[in-house]
Amino acid sequence: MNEQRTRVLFVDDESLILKAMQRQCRRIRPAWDAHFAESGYAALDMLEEWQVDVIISDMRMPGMTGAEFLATARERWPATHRMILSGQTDQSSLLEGVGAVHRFLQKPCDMKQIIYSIEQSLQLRKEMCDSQLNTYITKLESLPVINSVYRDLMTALDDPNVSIDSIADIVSRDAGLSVKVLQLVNSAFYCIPRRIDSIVDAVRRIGLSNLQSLALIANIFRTLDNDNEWNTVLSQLWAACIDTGACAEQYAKLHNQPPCVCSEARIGGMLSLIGRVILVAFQPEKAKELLNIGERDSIPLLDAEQKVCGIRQQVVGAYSLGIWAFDERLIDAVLHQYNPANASVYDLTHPAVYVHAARATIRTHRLTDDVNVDIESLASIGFDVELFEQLKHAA
Amino acid sequence: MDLATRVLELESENSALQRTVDALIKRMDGLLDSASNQFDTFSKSVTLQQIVGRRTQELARITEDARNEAARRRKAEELMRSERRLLSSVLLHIPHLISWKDLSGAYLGCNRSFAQAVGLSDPEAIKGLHDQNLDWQPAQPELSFQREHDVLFARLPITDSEEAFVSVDGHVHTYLVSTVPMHNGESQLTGVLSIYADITDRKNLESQLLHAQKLESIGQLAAGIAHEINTPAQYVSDNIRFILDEFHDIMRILKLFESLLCASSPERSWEDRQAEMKLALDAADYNYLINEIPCALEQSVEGIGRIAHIVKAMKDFSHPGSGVKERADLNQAIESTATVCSNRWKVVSDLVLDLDPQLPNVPCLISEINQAILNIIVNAADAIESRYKQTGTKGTITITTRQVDDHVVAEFTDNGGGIPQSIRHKIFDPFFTTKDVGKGTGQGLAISRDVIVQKHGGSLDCSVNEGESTTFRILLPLNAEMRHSRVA
Repeated sequence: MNEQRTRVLFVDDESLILKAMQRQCRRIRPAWDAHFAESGYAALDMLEEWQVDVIISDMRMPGMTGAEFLATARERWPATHRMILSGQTDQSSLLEGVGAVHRFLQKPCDMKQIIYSIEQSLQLRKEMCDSQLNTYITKLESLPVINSVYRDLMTALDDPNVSIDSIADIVSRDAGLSVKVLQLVNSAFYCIPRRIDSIVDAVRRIGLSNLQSLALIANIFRTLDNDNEWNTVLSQLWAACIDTGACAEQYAKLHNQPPCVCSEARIGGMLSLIGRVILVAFQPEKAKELLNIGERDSIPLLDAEQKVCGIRQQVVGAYSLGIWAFDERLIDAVLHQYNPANASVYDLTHPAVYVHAARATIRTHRLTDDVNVDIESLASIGFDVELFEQLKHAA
Repeated sequence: MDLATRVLELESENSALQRTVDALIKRMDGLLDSASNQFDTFSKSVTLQQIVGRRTQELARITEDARNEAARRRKAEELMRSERRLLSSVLLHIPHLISWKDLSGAYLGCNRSFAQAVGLSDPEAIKGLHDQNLDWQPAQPELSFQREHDVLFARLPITDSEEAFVSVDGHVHTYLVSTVPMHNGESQLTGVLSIYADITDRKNLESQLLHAQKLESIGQLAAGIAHEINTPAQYVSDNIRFILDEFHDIMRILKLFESLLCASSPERSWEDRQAEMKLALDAADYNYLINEIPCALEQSVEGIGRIAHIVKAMKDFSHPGSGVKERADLNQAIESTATVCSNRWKVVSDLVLDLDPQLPNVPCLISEINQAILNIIVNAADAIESRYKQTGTKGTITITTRQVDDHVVAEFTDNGGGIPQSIRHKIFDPFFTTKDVGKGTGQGLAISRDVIVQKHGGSLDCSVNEGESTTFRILLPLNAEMRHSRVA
């Protein structure tokens, strides 16, 4: 057997799904060594026999649930890349008890997208493992990003009749989150004439749908920034993330994108530097070196990063977002923030474009590197280049 | 009225009597004076003295009697007045609407609340009016008519009949109406008296609660239904993409064949052309395709059918109903409801349907019956899930329907281990739940039973085989009509 063939195991209790996947797989990736199991038990039997690179499992199955199966697989074959393909729509139940899964896909999902995600995810993991960061992977995979406030918030947001006041109440319980909500709403890019000091007003302004991701991001920062001599740097990075998010959203709005794309642009912007945040948090000594090398040799920060840490920040970011069950498009946007033309889709409907533009617009700290913009390429997909020049100038 | 006049008469009689007595006493005093003079004169006439003494005593007694009688009458009159005040005050202030009619249906009187409700400023004005003269109309006139008719006919009261009336301002109010027959002293029927209690607010709350419970379950179902639809959507779209992609290959082969078969094709031997065709077929994996494409198509059709089935079940389930009882197919209701909530039971349980194909349609409020069926199935699935969670095996939910005399019976049995004795008596209580906070409001069974018993005259009960199974039994009458609850 060819050692280079990617060995993939699909698990789903619906045999018709497996059959359809098999057909598509055979056509799109004939080189893959793909296996199909109709239950967690059958899948575990197969894992005993074959070494598998990637598992793609359904969640809701009779007998052994997807969560149980993946937990067992993780314990016994930790090197296996684990992904979820689920038809369940409520996120809160998905995140419960799954543990570290590397990617999270939602049904219905185009097989081409599934294959793209599998390959991208595998590639990111390979880069992570090859880097000097590999010792931190386990730590990264077990980061508790969901706390009780976040959980309460998700439950409350699931309730269609929820009032702004009760949401604001939950937010107020968490001082860190409250501060970040106010920071976001008072960011210059929201263009709100007066300063907003009340959580209720801030929540109303931000909108409930955005609050959830904000809470998650705030939580990631909190998890990372304890007892670190780089706390000031982290909070400056956070401020840069906030501005990048708000700026990306403005770009999306000014290009007449629907609210969902605007929201993706903002979240993507806010998350664009999460990889660097993780690098600084995990390896503070490297961060110092990073800045020194950058200044001494006057090479771009990103190259310095590759040199010092053996990896680039967007790869760390995208890999982490996969673990935290962020949407594929957001992962794509973060991964391709330096060159959106490489994203799965390169047009104005994809958040990567706006995250890219916002990253190039905002530069507030020495740890937020310069992003070079290919003006012609952006113009070719209809991006308003004049607007970019204006905003960059204003920033 | 008579009494007051009589009291006045008595009072004047009394004072006349008093005056006579006073005059008599005066005269007696005079007489006594002259008698004492005479006594001096006829001091030996003992008889006269005795007579006078006797008469004096007699007179004093009469006077005393007259005084007592006057006091008694004043007291009785006072009592009468206070009772009258009480009665009119009760009639005046009671929020219930009260009116009474004679045998011909003409109003004899009413209280102020009733007068206000029908748009009259003075309760006296109701006298002699009939229902059709009023600006206050029953929403279902035949129901009100029937009630009064039944009371007069059976001479028995009817209590708490729920009726809607359109009031003067055009709003519909719901009342609990109780009607009693009225008799005169000779126990002859003289008319009916009706009391109306306005329960509009309570009804609104009830329907809101019912609605809230329905919304709650639809909300809980929505995610499950999405999952049920996403599954076929996933493989249908995969299959169609596959077919679409392969179709391009097939078209390429066909074009190649066309050119090779064409008479004007270059001078090549048939064998040569055949070989090229075969090569093209092999390259496209033709043998695989001729097997897989029909399968992919069939499975796509199956998937679309599954989606259509779920959508139809959702439509059946969420049908709001007309608000009045209509004959409905209970078997279909059970199948649709089980489909809608299949996500709740499918993973943990098998479903066995043993539905009587001969089952007649049942007059019912189908939307509310659907809700009751849903509550029972979801409870059954939850029971099975908590029992079999550890074992990894599936339980069974069995649903049977059949006709028993003039009733339709639906039984829902789950082998989820039964309900513990200690809580069995509480399962129909509102707000009683064994589920985690946020998972159930404890309204399901309470509302289901209320709907089946109160609105359908049926029954919902439960029998338990301890440690094994629970059976919920819905009984619905086939000849359900709009009947009043009667006081025996």
